[in-house]
Amino acid sequence: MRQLLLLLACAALGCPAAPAPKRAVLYPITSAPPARRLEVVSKDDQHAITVSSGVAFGVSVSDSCDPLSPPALEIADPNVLREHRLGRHGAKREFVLVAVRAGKTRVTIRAECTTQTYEVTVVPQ
Amino acid sequence: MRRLPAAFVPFAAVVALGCGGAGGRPDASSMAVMPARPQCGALSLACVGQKLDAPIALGSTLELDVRYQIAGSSGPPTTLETADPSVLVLDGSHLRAVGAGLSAVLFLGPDKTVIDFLHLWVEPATELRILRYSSAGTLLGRVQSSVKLLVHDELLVSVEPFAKGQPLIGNFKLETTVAGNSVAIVPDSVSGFHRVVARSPGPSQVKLAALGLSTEWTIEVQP
Repeated sequence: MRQLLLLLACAALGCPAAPAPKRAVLYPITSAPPARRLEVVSKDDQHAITVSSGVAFGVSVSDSCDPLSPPALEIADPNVLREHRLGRHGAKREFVLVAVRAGKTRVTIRAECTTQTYEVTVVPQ
Repeated sequence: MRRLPAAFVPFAAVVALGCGGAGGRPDASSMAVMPARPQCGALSLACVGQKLDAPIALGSTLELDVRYQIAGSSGPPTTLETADPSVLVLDGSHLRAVGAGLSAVLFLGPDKTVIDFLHLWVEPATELRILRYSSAGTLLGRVQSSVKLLVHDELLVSVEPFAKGQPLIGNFKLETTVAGNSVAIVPDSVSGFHRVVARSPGPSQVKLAALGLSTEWTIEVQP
């Protein structure tokens, strides 16, 4: 009986919208030099970066969290991939990633409301 | 690729090459710091290196002279960092090209944040060429393998590396051997240039060696 009343109430008033999924993604803001690779995949089922060693690239992080809380990046193996902040006023969501040598590692976005991990493959030159 | 809005572009930088060694492209005054171009920095922030127009010769060194144009500020203290130390090694303010390939070079501000970066290629040289310049430093052309001079003639030349026809940049030690007494070869006051002076009639054979390569030059001085 209670479920029937809830159903009728939903039908009359409209059901509450499902909360928006919390997400964080990064996307490149620079490209690789000629003959070198840089691919960033941000799909629901795949988050991956493939980059040639020796390449540096800028990334910007976008998330659905508090816009006043800038995200942080965490690198699992800094011997493979290094991270720097961008020295620019107001660039709190932009970073520079440096592919140091061939190997695999992970980069994790730590946003205020969620985290997202990218599998990183640094391919040899 | 997303371009950053113009409001995020408060400065530009210029990088010039320093030519401290005896071989390589000369550092003539007309080739000093070049004006900035807004699109040549990787972050669309800075123009770094209009003179960085070619790969660096493997085994050579390169000095980067970093200069900025920042609205409301002088250039910040900057340190360099290379991405791949198997390609480029930082030695003070000099980059040493230790392996063929590519490496990013990062320009870091005082708080270790990245101001900008660029990618440099390293390529092994396959050929040394002798190039002649005017006294004002203008490139006149490639010197032939056999030349004739008159006594008291002078040529201003440089020895520059090429890879499969493409010029390379970088400084390196140049070994000069002269067989014969008709010419003298002396380094010019501008690094990278050499003055060839015809002293007396007769033949001379000049051997120039650098970067594991060598080239020979036959000079006949006529009375």
